[in-house]
Amino acid sequence: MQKELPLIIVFVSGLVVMLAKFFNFWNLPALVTTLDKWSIVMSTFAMLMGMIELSRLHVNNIRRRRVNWTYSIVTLLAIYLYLPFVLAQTPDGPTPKWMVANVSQPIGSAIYAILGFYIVSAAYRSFKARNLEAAILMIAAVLIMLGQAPIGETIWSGFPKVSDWILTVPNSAGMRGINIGAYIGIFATSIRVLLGLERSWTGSGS
Amino acid sequence: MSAQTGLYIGALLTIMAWSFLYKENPFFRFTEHLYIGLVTAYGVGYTYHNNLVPIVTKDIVQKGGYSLIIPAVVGLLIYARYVRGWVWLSRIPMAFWIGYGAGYSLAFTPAVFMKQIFDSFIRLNTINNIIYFLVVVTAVMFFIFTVKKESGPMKWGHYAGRYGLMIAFGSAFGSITMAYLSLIIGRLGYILRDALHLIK
Repeated sequence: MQKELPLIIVFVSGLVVMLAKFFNFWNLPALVTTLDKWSIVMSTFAMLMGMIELSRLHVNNIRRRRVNWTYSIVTLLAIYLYLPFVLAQTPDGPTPKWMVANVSQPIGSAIYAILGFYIVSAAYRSFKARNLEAAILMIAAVLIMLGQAPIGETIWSGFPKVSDWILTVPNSAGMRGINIGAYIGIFATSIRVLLGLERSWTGSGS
Repeated sequence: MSAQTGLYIGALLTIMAWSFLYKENPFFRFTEHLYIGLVTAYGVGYTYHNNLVPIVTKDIVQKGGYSLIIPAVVGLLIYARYVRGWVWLSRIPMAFWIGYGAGYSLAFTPAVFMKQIFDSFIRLNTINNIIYFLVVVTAVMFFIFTVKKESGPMKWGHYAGRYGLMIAFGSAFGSITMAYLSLIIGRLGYILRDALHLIK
């Protein structure tokens, strides 16, 4: 029962959504709207899960004096000192607004921008035309960058047009091929999940 | 605190985060852990005010949608993983989300998916359309793993598809690099223009 019930729920909830889409009886389409609402309500009531798990992880770091455990104090203090303000003032309140504008958003953008430095560094290291595929990848990337940067148009006025052509023809077509492949993968995985063949989500392996 | 003080703090935190480019150091670790904590707290507060409160006060109490108590209770079952012997109950809400998600993608994705396939069969009256069609078909051929590709059209389609995909990946890489450069320029503008007033 403990193993079968979740699998039955997976199958039934998936089947109901599919039946509601493809058939119009027993007021099934309205049932999907209800299930949609149910899904939101369930996620809402599970909202503390992430915070509890994060807190447990950092409390254990501190308890066991793991490497860099002192930074776990920072995370816990940030959560439990900031949370009362967000709860009391709403996310649009003065303190959360100030914190987002001057602390969270600058750090988030800075950390995200770090990836930019690494992408440029990776480009420098990997853009060597070792074979035809690598050469094509490099040429396409360089043409796109030259087409989008002001310096490209200064060097040759045709770069933006070439860049546009790459984006609208081969890039768009290649991405469509990738999407079609991905959709087929989604279908296959969804069918496996509904049939109970894919059970890794239960934590008991497949 | 004044707006300028906030900008100084934001600029300082940006520099502390970017100090990672030199090497991993305590300043970066501090900002990283601070960020995780703040975002978690904000996320919980945001969900509380924008989802939980409206559901309880409007949908359940005002509108009398008492049936929503069922998913609320099922959602709370996820905390059963902290109760020894009742861990399996936490899989019930997970099962609903996974089943609902899988059913949803099987039911509603074909509309998008099929449209992409139909739109790929364009009139082959221009060079661009021919290239477009060939790249789509060969890219799909590249992703077919159940057929041997050692000879014949599958072999050549596979090769051509790989080159088409390389152009797509290259242009995606180029576009992403440009987007990140814009982000870096934006952050530099925040430090040098907004906070320190060194540039206009």
